[in-house]
Amino acid sequence: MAGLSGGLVAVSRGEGLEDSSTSNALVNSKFNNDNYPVGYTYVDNEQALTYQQNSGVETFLPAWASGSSLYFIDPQFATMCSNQYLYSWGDYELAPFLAGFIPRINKIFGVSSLFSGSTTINNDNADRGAGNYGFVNGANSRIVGHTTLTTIDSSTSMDNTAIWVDSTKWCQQLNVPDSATTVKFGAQIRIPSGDKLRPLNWAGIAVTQDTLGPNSTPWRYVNYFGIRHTDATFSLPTSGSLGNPGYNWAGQGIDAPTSSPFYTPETFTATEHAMLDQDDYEDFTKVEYTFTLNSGTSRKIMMHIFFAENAKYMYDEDTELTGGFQYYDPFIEFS
Amino acid sequence: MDRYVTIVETFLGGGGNLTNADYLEALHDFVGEFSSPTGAMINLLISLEAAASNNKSIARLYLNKFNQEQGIA
Repeated sequence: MAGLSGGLVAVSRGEGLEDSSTSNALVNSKFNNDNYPVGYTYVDNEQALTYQQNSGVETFLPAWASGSSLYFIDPQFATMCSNQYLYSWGDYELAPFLAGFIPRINKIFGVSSLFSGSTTINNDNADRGAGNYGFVNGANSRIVGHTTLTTIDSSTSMDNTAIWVDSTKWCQQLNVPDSATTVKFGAQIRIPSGDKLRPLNWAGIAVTQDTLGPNSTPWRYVNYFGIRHTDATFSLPTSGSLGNPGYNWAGQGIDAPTSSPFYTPETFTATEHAMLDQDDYEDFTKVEYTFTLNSGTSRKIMMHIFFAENAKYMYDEDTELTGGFQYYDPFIEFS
Repeated sequence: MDRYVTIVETFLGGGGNLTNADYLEALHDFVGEFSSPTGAMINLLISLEAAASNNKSIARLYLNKFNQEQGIA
């Protein structure tokens, strides 16, 4: 009877999305642990696979750590997570709370607000954390996640089209097998016609490896792809400049203690594998990219899945749709 | 928005006859609506979440923030 019941469920679901990989090193990649965090959460608090909580003001995800640096009023150090979970079959409709252990699509989107003047840690502060590197506390974490500016200082306004905030971000850290030399990463992604990104918003998936670079400087190596509006033309930097260290690809550390959730590298090297046009991804499409790891033993990498919201839209508190980035079964394969 | 404000106010006023399932249903409906969020709406969402988890102080704080940003209070 168990087999018959399972078959009936499959029939009622119709044909759903298939797995992205047969050798996925990520866990809870399909968000099927019946958890539904929305609103806010805390950074660097990935939970065990047995964790279940569907509502409340302190909700987390098994195996995934939030990496948003957009703070709220209270409790202190609570940050944003804008999620919708969708069924992974049929018309990909909104899945309910308490839906059970079903594979789900995650959709992340923007918030159109800096919550100015109402937070314990000010988000309307472009050079927040200036001069602080390594494992820093919340007040010294960067609000700026990406920028095309070469200098950010106390006179820089968040009313700025050249700054992006990872208003929602999920991260998962993995140990790298000592024998591994390459990583393949990706997901099935889409941005449907009714939920397109605004011209300056973008989203993406990055894999970072922190190590020591030249002169033993803490160095973050970033491999990523993004997706954006068809009219967007910005070019993100491939390395840090002397005038703005720490304002690109800062955030979750690869091995941070709970009391120091943010890690800000002194410099970075980024490889953009693609900046996709959202108009080409209205239906779910698998994207994947491969890169060579830095050599070593006991290595760690981290996947970051993020919604990069333009600071000007947040500053202006526009009510226009931010657009949403849908992804299913992100994966990492080692070889 | 009025529906959600009423739910939170009912909770803050003593709970009314709403069950936890009612709160969860309202919360789910809200999540379905707020893919075009504003800061005020996020504050109301958090207030509703707090109501669903029986946390009056957080529910009141964020409902007040919502009302301020809507120009109500």
